[in-house]
Order: sequence, then structure tokens, then C-alpha cells
Amino acid sequence: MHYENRQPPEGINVVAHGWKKDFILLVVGFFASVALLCWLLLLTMAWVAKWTPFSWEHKLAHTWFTPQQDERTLYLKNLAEALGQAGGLSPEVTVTVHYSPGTATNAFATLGGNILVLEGLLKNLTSEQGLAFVLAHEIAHVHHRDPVRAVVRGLSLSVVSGLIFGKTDLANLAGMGGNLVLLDYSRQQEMEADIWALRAVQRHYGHVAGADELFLALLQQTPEDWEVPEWLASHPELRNRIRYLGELARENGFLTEGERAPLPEFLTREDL
Amino acid sequence: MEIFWAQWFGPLFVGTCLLAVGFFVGRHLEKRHYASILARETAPGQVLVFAARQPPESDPPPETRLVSGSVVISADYFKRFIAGLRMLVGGRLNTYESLLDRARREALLRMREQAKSLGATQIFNVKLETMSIAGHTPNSVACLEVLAYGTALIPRS
Repeated sequence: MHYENRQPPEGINVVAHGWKKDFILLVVGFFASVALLCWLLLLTMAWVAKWTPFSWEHKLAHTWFTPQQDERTLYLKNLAEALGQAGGLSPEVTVTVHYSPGTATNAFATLGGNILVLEGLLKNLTSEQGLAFVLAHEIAHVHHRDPVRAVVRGLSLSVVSGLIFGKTDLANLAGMGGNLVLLDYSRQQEMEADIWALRAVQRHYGHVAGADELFLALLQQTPEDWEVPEWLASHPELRNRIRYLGELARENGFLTEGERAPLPEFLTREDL
Repeated sequence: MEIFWAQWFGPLFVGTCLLAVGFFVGRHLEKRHYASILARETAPGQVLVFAARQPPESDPPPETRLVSGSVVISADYFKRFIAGLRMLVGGRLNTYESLLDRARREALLRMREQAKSLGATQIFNVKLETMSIAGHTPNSVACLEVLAYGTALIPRS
């Protein structure tokens, strides 16, 4: 008896180039639908977050900082109160300013209306108006409920990413895409806060001279080749910020020249 | 700036590189492997393989030996990426199908080679077994073993 093993035809168990369709359909289609879903979710969640009572935020965050009573904090507190009034801070939110030693040129607003001003920031400023603009900017974040919106956005993105991707390589990719979106929101919020702050400074001092002092100082310190492209940054580019502050002042007829008060000496004094 | 690099370019760069390496190297190796499989399968003088349990009776009865061929094969980054997306919506895992097909055919070829070196002309009762030897924990490499075994018949002269 004669036996033979005949070669079966190819292309039954394996489709040649089967990956091509998968790659195009899945990568494009899938990421597009996830992006759409996340966009809708972020929009809804941030909108909902804006309506959560401020007292919840306050309850959550009131243990994070120890109250300070020194000269510096009192000065910052009074300035913040005046700016809040001038800017029309909504009555349901309260602002608490804290001073913190730290070399970074930074100030930030966090949950519960807490604003942290770092030592490094004060050293980069020369006039009260410069500081007032930065403070008013942070007060604007509290006014717009930006910290809680950012937290809710970040959390909902993490939850969606965790639900869909779990702990895979795709989660990293999705996280990067999500971060880009968060940064875009962040830049929008920064711009809105700048606008609110400029109005507050104008109402308080009657002019906006010195409002862009910090941006000018930062611009001088940044070497040009170190600049991050704007779509990857959390804040709008410095030159753009300076430019639209100028435009805003012109459009609204804010005075760009005026008397600048120097910062009190105790603000930048080294602690013994 | 450092944070910016660490957060963005690091993972993005590494991810793209791994995908590109997986795609180009993986494709090249798969093509070469298929060419080699086809050449060996169609080469003349191959040991014949049968799934039947009993060989036809013959006199004198042939000598029998257990022969086996085993292959351990791993998915590349690109295959895993595509499969990861596929698993969300379901359907044919094209990239893994070719991987398993290669492994099965390679295992059979190795078994035939072993039988040939023993002087066998036929293998009966051929069976295939597949098992995943990793890939149960996240981020581990998905690789699997395919084992082909059967009874080789060595004719007595």
C-alpha cells in the first residue's frame, strides 16, 4: 500500500497580512471612540464638579495646612481679601493664603480655597502689583472651582483608563493622550484666571502696571532652547500670556501706567 | 523640563521604538520562518505522519519508538499590541494565529527530523499539545510551547 502526506493549502489557518485590517480598524476606530467618550465624560464631570458645595471641599482640605499668624501671612491675607472683593469673588467660597519656604518660583491654589505662595516667587517680584496679579490669578482659580474640576477630571480619566485598559501597555498610551487633553483644559483655565486677575488688579489699584512683572522675570530666566511646545505645557506660553494681557488692557481701557508700590521688606527676609 | 521629558518623551519614545522593532523584526523573522517551513515540508524523502492510532499490519512488525518535537515561541511587541486591541472587541486574533501555526508546523518538522535520524519512515498516532508557559502576569512575555509526539515506525530489514 502506498501512503503520502500531501501539502495542505495555505491561507486557511492563517490569513496573510491579516494584521493590516486589524491595525487600521482597531487603532484608528478604537482610539477615536475612546477619545470621544472621554471628552464627553470630562465635560460632564467638570460641569458637575462645579456645582458641588464648596463646604465639601473645605471639609476635605482643612487639615492639610496649619494656620500661620506671622506678619507675612497677614499681609498676604489682607491683599487676597482686598483682591477677592475687587474681583467679585463668589460669596460661597473662602480663600486662605499660606506662605511656604521653597525655592520654586510658584504659587498655586488647591482644594478648599487654599493658596500656597512660595518664597521663590516673592524673591522674583519687586512690586505689590506684581504679587497682586499672581494672587488674584490663584483666587480666580478658586472662584472658578478649578482645583476640584482638575481633580475630578483626573480621577474620571484614571477610572476610564483602568476600566478599559487595565494594567496594559495600552493604558500608558491612553494615559498620555488623556494628559494632553487635561493640559489643554489646564491652559484654558489659566487664561480665564489671567483675565479675571487682570480685572481684579485694575479695580483694586485703578491701573494694571506691573501685572505682567512675573512673566517678564520668568521669560528672562528661561533659555530659549529649553522651551516646551505649548500643546505639551500646563500653562500658555509666557509671550502669549504677556501679549493677551496687553490686548485685554487695551480693549477694556485699563491703564498700563501707574504707581507701583514696592513689596514690604519683611516678605523676602530670611528667617533666623 | 526633566519632568516633561520623563512624562512624555520617555514612554512615547520607548513605546514607538518597541512597536517599530516588533513590527519590522517580527515580520522579517516570520517571513523567513515560513519560507523555511515550506521548504522543509515539501522536501522529498520526508517521514510520513498519521493521526491514526494503529499502523497497518506488516511482517516482520516494525520497531517502534516514541518521537517528539517541541517548539517554544514568543509573541513580539507588535503582535501583542494588536492582540490587546483585538481582545477589546473580539474576533480573529490574526497575529496570534500565525504565531501558533508556525509553532505547530515547526514542532511537526522537528518530530519528523528526530524520527528520520532514527531511521523511521512513518510516524503514527501523532498528537499535538500546546501550553502557555508565561503570560499569566501582566507585562510578562506571552510565549508558548507546542509539543508534537507520536510513535515512529522503524522498518526491520
